[in-house]
Amino acid sequence: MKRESLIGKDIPRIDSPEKALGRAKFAADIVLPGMLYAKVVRSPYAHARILNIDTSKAASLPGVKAVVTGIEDTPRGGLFGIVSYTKDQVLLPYDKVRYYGEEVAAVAAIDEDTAEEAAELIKVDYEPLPFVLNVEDALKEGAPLVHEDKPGNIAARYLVNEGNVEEAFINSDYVWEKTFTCEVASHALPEPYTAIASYEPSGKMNLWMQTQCPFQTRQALSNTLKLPLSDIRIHSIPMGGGHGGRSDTFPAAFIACLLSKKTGRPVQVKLSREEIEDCMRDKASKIWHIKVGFKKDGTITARDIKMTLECGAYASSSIVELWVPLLIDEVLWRTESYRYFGELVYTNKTISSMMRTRAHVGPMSMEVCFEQAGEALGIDPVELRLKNALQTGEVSPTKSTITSSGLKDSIKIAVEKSGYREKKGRLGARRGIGLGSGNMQSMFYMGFRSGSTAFIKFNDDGSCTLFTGNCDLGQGNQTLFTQIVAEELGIDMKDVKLCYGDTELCYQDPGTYSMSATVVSGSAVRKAALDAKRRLLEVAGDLLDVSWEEVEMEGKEFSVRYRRGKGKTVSLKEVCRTAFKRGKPIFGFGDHRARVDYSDFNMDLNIPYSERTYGQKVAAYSYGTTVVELEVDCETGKIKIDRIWAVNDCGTVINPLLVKGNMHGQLNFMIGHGLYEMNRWDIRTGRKLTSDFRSYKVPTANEIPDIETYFVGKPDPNGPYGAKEGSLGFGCGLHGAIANAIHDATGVWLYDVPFTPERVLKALEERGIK
Amino acid sequence: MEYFRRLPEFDYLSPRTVEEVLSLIKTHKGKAKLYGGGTIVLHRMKGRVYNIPYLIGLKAIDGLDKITIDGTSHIRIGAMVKHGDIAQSMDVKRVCPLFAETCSMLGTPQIRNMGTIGGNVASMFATAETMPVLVALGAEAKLVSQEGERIIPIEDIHRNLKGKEIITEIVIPLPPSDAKTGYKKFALRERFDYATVSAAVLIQMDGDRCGEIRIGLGGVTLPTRRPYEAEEALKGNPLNDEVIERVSTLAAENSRTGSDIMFSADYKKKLLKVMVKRAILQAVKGVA
Repeated sequence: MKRESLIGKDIPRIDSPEKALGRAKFAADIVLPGMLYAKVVRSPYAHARILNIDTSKAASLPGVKAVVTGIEDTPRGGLFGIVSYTKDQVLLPYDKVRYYGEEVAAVAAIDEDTAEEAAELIKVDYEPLPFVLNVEDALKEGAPLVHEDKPGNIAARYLVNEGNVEEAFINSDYVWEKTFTCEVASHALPEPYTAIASYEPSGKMNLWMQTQCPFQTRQALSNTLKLPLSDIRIHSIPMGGGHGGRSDTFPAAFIACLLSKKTGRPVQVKLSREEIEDCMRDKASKIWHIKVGFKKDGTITARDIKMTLECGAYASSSIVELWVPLLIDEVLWRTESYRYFGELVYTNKTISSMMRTRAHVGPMSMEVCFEQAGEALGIDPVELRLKNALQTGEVSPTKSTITSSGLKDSIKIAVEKSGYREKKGRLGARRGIGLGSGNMQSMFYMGFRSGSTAFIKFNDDGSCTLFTGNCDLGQGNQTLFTQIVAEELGIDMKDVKLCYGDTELCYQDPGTYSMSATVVSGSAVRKAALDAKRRLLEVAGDLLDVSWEEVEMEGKEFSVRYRRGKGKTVSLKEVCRTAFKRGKPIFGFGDHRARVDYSDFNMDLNIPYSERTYGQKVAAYSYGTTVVELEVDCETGKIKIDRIWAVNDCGTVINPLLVKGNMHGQLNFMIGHGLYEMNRWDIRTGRKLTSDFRSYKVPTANEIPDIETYFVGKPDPNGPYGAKEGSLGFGCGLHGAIANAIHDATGVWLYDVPFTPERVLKALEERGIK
Repeated sequence: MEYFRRLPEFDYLSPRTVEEVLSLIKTHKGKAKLYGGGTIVLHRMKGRVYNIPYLIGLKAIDGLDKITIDGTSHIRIGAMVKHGDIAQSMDVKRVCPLFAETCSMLGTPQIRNMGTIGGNVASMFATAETMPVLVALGAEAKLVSQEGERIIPIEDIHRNLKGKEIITEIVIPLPPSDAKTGYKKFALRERFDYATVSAAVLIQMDGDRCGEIRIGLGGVTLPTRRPYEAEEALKGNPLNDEVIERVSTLAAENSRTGSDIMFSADYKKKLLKVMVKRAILQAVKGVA
């Protein structure tokens, strides 16, 4: 009997039971023989020169095995930064500290209590320096410099200038201009960060830690520790979330390595919630100034964007946040002339990194624009969107081709399913409905890391093991890959075992990063499965005495095609064993490079942006639209979202159950950042005030509305089975939808995210609304 | 160092009687804290706000975890009764449903299962969530020291509770059968968050006019927890929209709020007015 295809089926995650039952082992559960426990001494200043560190008392405390400081132990010359021009961080600094909580020393001891006691005995002399806590101050003439070699506190700049924006505005019938902002937010990852390093006498450094991209982390540790790449091994381990916040290489892992090398024993560095929130990563604050020109008929003539992005103390992966808003914005709405200028600015704050849905101020600005411009031009805002929505086959200002776009369809379906037209303006007192679209890249250019290689080996019982460098942060990649292998080989998912993210056993992968898992890693997995299948068929053909093309594989059995029942059959186990006997075991090898041919982001403003930088920057784009219905309490300013309709164009939906789960996750995340979450700093000391989950307001189940999900995509040529990224793009317009719904409910416009009750009330009071 | 979060070493003392507690307080003056549910004290020890070698546990003392109805006049709640037990107590639900509801809305299940009423009252937090309702209900606290016992109105606890004293009991007069009550809290997240501000009222009508009234506020400085002027302004007046507006404005104006991480003092005052108004409306009209 022919098995039904697994593609498009609701398949529960393979790791759900062990996680739901609390049986999964995370990094903090690992205890190695002889393991030591480390504590990090952190800066009590937002900006200071390190003058002297006295570790003598700590080192002589019984139970202490080693102390490390930047001055004594950091190999010189190895800086962390994800691209060559942003390498700016010494992972354990020796000259100065640039934010409150930065690492200055660490101690390893036989238990955590001793380590803490010893850490308190380390005496650091500082020369405090003036500091800057916001972009405005950092850009002022004569502002304190976070990095002496970065004048004006500018980490990087990026400019795209296509067509003639100035002329286009002059020739426009209507020009709209606004400034939007969003606050520094946290990844708020539930699992505490833990890194365990174990240095072997042979020179091998083993690590168990959370990382979204083990191969980049291995490279960065090799650069900064001055150890050969091949001497570093990152072992795979289940992870409790990432959201982009585990893309970088962190001082904690570096310190664990230094301490392990010094003591010859395994060392665990486990961070507290306060350390994670203060000293890991945040999402950059953003000021987004946008000007849009329209013709009378609603056609967009030009868009001019100026973005100021705050990266905190080091450039880190927030450099990606400088480019990505462009990658999102340029492929949503058609425009003839286009200018995008981004500036990445240092401040003495927690380092910002990339974060999922990083570009939400961008899509939001256009959603508000369509509503306001629609009114000014006398055109229905939904029609205005449909008129300007980019479609399949169109080319972006920087010459990326869109191989599939369900943007228009997603708007239409969202409008229809939510009853948008019937409800808009008619929901009664204090209730409103709003719409917003978004998109996301599936794999942007990452140089030689733009590809993934997967490997499958068959065991003698007919089961197989898949090796992929790609990790699962919680999206369900393990399930997806297992499903793909089972689909191609016609075997049960339980017969596919997985080895992932181990830098020693697996081939390179971009990492769970840039939404590449499905399109790139998934394609590699599929190719590996097809390669293995070909080998299986060849051996089976030999045994059946026919050519491999005539063999059919079904349910662990091989038979001769079209002559079923006539010829004999051979089992999968028999084929695998025969292959072993012949000294040619069954394996499969698959490699997939993304269709991204060029993306030399121009950082030198002296060289104008030119055709040199044209090219396909992203393999495939996902699209989607959300509609929000909400209620505003006009006396307190509090917003309650009642319902969300979410329409997702992620191409072919390989596992709807999994994608729907991810969609709920994305909307929860966006609601958090839209209404509740933001970080605050003590302006006197530079210390973060929102370092725990009481003061940093991640929404609970009470704040999450009813969610309806729909799919609208058509297969994209780039992904496996036509799939694209499925978790982020559809929801990127949610903040725009919320802003529009608040306007529908009250008549006020909000431009600053999050829409906290105090901000909403202020806007209402300014308009005299009670 | 504020980044250390391990509990420092300490001795846990487990007295069996209130007398023993009082004597231990005297012996370890300045070096000990009382341990009720631990939700505040452990957090502060981990953060090194408290650097103390002793905790005096109150769990082994008989009788502090009891809820008793004293005839038809009072309900007595031992200082060690947990919020969750109050929320679920059939007695409290019957005679004083407002207080049971308040306790059911406080914090998270974990906090409700650990935190005690005595600890919440003794915390002196502006945001202590049992306080507004206790003030509105006219509750009193029984304070015990080696010199003896005294009973003081709950709204005056901040002026009275001395280091050598402990709270053993909260005594709530049973609300008269014709009393109307209301409680409103504002928190960014419905549950889990401390109430930014809150208001509780107890009103007895005198015909169509307001007779006895008590208002308790949360999220304000301790001395402004009971807005006497607002209460006076309401007495003898009909409970119409204009009066309620005036009274809630007065209550908010005469209280003091401070800014916090999330909200400005000014915004909190505005919220307070809305909460007072809504609590009164809930009481008189049953508006949820």
